[in-house]
Formats: sequence, structure tokens, C-alpha cells
Amino acid sequence: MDRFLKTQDDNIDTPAALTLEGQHGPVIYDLTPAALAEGLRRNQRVVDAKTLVPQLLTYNADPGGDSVALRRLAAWCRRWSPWVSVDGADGLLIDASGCAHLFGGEAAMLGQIEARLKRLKLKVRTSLAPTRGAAWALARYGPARSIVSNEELAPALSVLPVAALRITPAAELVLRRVGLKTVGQLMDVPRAALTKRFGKGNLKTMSKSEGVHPLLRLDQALGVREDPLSPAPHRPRLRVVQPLLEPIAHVEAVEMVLEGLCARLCRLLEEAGQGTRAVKLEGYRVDGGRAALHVAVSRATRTAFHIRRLFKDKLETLDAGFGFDTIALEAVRTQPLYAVASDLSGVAALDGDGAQLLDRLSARLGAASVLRPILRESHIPERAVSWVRALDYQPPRRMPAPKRALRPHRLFDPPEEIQVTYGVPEDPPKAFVWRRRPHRVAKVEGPERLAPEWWRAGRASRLRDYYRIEDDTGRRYWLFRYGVYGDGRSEEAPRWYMHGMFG
Amino acid sequence: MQLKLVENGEDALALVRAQTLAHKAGHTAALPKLKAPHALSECLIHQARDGAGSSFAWASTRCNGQERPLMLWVQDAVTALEAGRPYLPGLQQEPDLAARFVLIQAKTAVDMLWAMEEALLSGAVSAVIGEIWGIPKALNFTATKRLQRAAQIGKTPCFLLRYGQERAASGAHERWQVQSAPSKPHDDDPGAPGAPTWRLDLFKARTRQPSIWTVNYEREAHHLHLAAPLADGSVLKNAG
Repeated sequence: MDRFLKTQDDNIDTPAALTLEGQHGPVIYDLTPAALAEGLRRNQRVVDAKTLVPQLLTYNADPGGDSVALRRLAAWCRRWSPWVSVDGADGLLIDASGCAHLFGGEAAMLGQIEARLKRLKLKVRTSLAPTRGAAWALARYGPARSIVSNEELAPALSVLPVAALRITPAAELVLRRVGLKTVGQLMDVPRAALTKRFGKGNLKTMSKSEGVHPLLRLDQALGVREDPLSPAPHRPRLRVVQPLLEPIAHVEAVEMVLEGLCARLCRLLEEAGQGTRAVKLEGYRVDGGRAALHVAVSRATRTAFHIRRLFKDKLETLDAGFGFDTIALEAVRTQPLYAVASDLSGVAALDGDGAQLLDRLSARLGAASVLRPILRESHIPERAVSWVRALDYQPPRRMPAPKRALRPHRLFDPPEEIQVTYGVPEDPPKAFVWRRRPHRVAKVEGPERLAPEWWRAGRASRLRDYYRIEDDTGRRYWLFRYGVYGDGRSEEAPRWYMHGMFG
Repeated sequence: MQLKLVENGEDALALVRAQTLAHKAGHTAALPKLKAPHALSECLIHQARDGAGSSFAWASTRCNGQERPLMLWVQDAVTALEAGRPYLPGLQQEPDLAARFVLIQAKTAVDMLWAMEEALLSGAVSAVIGEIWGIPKALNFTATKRLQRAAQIGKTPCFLLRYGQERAASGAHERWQVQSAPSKPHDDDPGAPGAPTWRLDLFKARTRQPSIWTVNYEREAHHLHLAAPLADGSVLKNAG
């Protein structure tokens, strides 16, 4: 919601809602304060809300974008502690153990966090507590900027509603029905009774819809049970920069700088135990412009020579303008790279040479030009092979067994229609015109009947009768008739197509 | 071979030429071995609608005893449209071909020649087949010399399939022209096509005698043998 309000600061007073597509039409995802004041609530259907508040404005919600923004915010929050993790859809957890004194004490730290985030136009509530559950509860249901020590923990929690225990609405409803409204009341109830009510005697075996056991949540909030924080791993950017004394514009000069940069980047990668799948070269021009080159490789690498050679084929396309004064090289996508052992499956993994050749071809000709085949279990000829980019190619686990049926060595995809000039409808043509040239059929073998794949194709698809024919000059083709007369699939008469050539 | 049926003027001339050459050498040229040398071979294909040329190139380059990780097939855009893409189930003889096969669809002749040369020099491919439409400017005598040299250095067979009617200057080691010829009827089914029959015209070669053969290709046995002359029944047809 905050992210939305940031872009809409002029009409903040009108009730507005962000909506998502629900099962029965759009539902409300989030609301502005003005809309909340009108009595609308979340998960309400938009049509109901509009009846109550006709002037309600609705916009599409973007939960994906929200979570990305929250993750970025988490990274930014590492200024206060190295242990930061995203909590749910709208929270951040910061493990501030041993950090508060750096910011002038706990209260000062919370004040700073709130002030900083407010400057980003975000509405925040903060709290500091010895346990994760307690901090969660106090931030949402407690007083603003509450700081609780170990001794005050139980009293502070006992006044909060049971919803503060991170339990599902269903569990909350059950507790409210038996009259347990606050955490304090829940603490006073004998444990055995509660354990029996929620789950089968074990705190950990609860169904998904019931969520986590309220007692477990209570224990976690009070610090009786452990509740560890798992912060998002911090990945430093693998980037090397080379400022230059004099601007350079010539390809040779850039190449020399690149050589040093590649060596440095590969050393960085080696220290991190990583290999790179994509590398970006950036040149910062003296006039303030920027030119970039990307290369990708099919297998993670940290060989300086290889990366340099990939760029070398493309350097001419880099527009230097009046010259670069800074050049940077960054490993954009990385993955762990260990020493490679050959497998015993019999299908040879590409040795270094083969992979490097494919990288070079892909870098120069474009990734879409270098293709590798994937064989599939399908008897429809054009579906039996699909082509994927060499950079994305993963050798399949299992190859389909080769078929004994004779197949052409070249295929026209899509098949080309031919005009039959002489022939009996049920039989292969005696003469046909393909690409405006007549062919007279001398020899025929067939038909090989291929039915449509009913589990994929629609009702309208028809069967194909394939014929292997040879014309009077000895050229061999693979023809098929699409459908048969009276198959009830189509009103149209069956047509003939050219699908492949034999050698 | 000398008994080969003379069907039209062009064939007659070719036959005379072959016979003259054979006489000069004092012997009949031996049958080609279906094993492309580690050099550039060219194959002229007059008609894109004839699959014989590419089939011959494939038969010559496959199973050449080299254990290398890749097998490269390069096409320009026009050839892909006119003659279709290579189709794995039809090519496949070795089970691991799909794991080795790479298809390159080059946009320009320059890209295509560059890719072929890189592949030949890399030593990572067991063979390179390139298909090019017509005679683009980039494919001059020097370009073919470069390919020939790259194939020799990389010890890799390379087949350049040139689609078109004209013969341009070339530095290739061997130059072929391949066409389909009517096959003899299938042994078990007289109406069906038998083993493919090719008319192989080796019109230029560095190390052996240029000659013309009409051969049958036994796919299963991977073997060529001379087509029995007159076996296609054309005499009967002419007589009738």
C-alpha cells in the first residue's frame, strides 16, 4: 500500500483500494486509511465494497512487486544489523543483538529506523523485544516504539489480543469462542487442555489449515522455545572497475584493459568459489554516456582467457564515442563452481573445448542462432524434435528409444501443400505440383498412418497417411494426406502435403 | 560404368569426359569410400528439391572414427527455407547423435564462414557440414582456401554444400556434384523405392582421379556399390 501511495500523493484523501482477482471476481487486497475509515476491510469483494462506498477508486495490486521491494528494503536495512530477514508480506526482522549501542541505545535506534523509513514515505511501526514472536506482536498490537526487556516480557504480552501470537484466523476464532481474548488469559489456561484442543497431543503435527499450534507460538514469544531468524544471504557484487588516466577509444586499448579486468574478476570468482554464467562489460564515456556488452556462457566458468575471447569477438560493436574514462566488468549471474568429475552415464558431458566453442558461436552469432536438438517421445514428426538454444541446453536424462521407421533426413516445417494433378482420391498421387514444378511419381511405399495425439490435439485434428515416394528422376519425398474422406473431422476434402526429403 | 545409359546430352558429355579421364589414367577409378578426408570437400547441388547431395555429405562425414564432443551443421536462412532443416530421426544412426548435434542458423554468409572456420580450428567437432545458397560475395576463392586450411589444421572433415547451378572458383580438396537417379525397385515390393541411387560426379580432386559413378547406397550397411547399369528399367520403357 505504501508503495502505491508514494506514487499517488495528491488524492490520498479519497478512499481507494488495491484489488486482486479472487475466486468470484476481484477482492480487496489493501486499502487507504480513508477507505478503512469508511468501514471497508480486506478480502472483501469489490462489488460489495462499491455498494457501500460508491466513490471508491480501485487499482490493480502487485504483490510480486511488493515482495521484491521488501527484499530490497531488507538489503538496505543491513545498515543497522547484518542479520535482516523478510517476515511475511509486510514485515522486516532485524536481529539487533549487540548493535544498539552503535546508534546510541535501543530507543535511539528505533527512533532512527522510524525516521529513516518515514523519509522514504513508508508508514512503519517498530518494537524491540527479546524474542522474535514478541517483537512481531508488539509491533502490530502493542504501543508504538515499545521496548521490552526479559523481565517485562510476560506482562507486556499478556495484555495483547490472541491474534498477536501469529496464529491463523481459524485458530483465533476458536480461542475467541471459548472466551480466551488476550494472551494473558491463554497463559492462565492449563496447557494440557489446550494441547488436546488443537492437534493430537503433539505440538508439531497440525494440519496446514490450522497453522502453527497457539501454544508453540506462545512458547516462542516467551522465549521458551527457539525461533531462529534466517536472514537472506548477502551476496557481494562481483565487479571490478578500472579507472583510466586518459580516455581510450581504440579497440586494441580496450582489449588491453579488458585483459587485466578479466584476470582480476576471475580471481574474485575463485575466492568466492563461484563461476559465472553471464558477464557484463561497461564502458563509461567521457561525455557521461555508457556503453555495455553482455556475453553468456553455457557452463559456469572462471577462465580469464575464455571470457576475454568471448568479448573480443564483440568489441567492435562497443560504441566508444569520444573515449572511455572508466571500464567495469561484472559477473552478472554466478553459481557455485567446483572441480568437475566426469559422469559414468555414458552420455559424454561436453568437454571444455565443446562448451567454449558453443559460447563463442553464441556470443558472435546471437544465442538464438546456435541450436541443439531435444528428442521427445512423440510420433508426430515435427514434435519429435525441438530445438533449444545451446546456452540453455541441458542434456536430457533419458533419450527416447530410436524408432525403426524410416524417416527423411530433411524436414519442411511447416509442411508445404502440394497440388495433386493426377490421382485417385484414396491412393497416393500419380503426379503433383510442388513449388510450381510438376513431379511424376514413379515408385510408392506406404501408407504409414499416424493418428493425431488425442491427449493433446483438439477434435478438429485429422490423421495423416504418410507415403514415401520417388519421382521419375529419382528424388525421394515424404508426402502425407491430411485426413481421409468421410472421417467426420472436417467438411473439407483431405489435402496433400510435402513434409520431407530422403537422400 | 562404361555401359552407363546415356539419357541426355549433358550426361553424354560427362560420360565421354569420364571415359577419357579413365583412359588417360589407364584404369577405372575406384569407388569412393564414404569417408571424407580431413579437408574441405565441396558438393554442388543443382536443385534444392533434391536430397541426394546432403545425404551423401552426411554419409561421408558420419562415423569417421573420431571421438569428439560435437557435430556441427551450419545453414543460411535461404537454405533452411528451400531445403528444410536437418531432421534428427532421419539422420540418426548412432544413439548419441542428439547429444552431439549442433545446428547453426547463420544470418549472413560471413557469419556462416566464420562459424565453420572456428569450429574446424577448435578441434571439438567431429565434422562440419555447411549449406550455402548461391554464390555470395564473401564466399570467394580465398574463403574456400581458408576453410581448406582450417580443416587441415584441425584435422576435421568439412563439407560445403553449395546450392546453385554455377561452378565458382574454389580451393576445395575435392569437388563433387551429386544428383538423385532412379533407383532399382525394392527387392520385396516392386512398386516401392529401393536403395537410394546417386549419380556422383567427382569433377575436381587433388589426390585422385576425377570420375563419375552411379551408385546405390546401402543405408544399413553404410556401403556404396556400383549400380547395375540398365537396372532401372529405362531400356524397357524406351523400347515399349
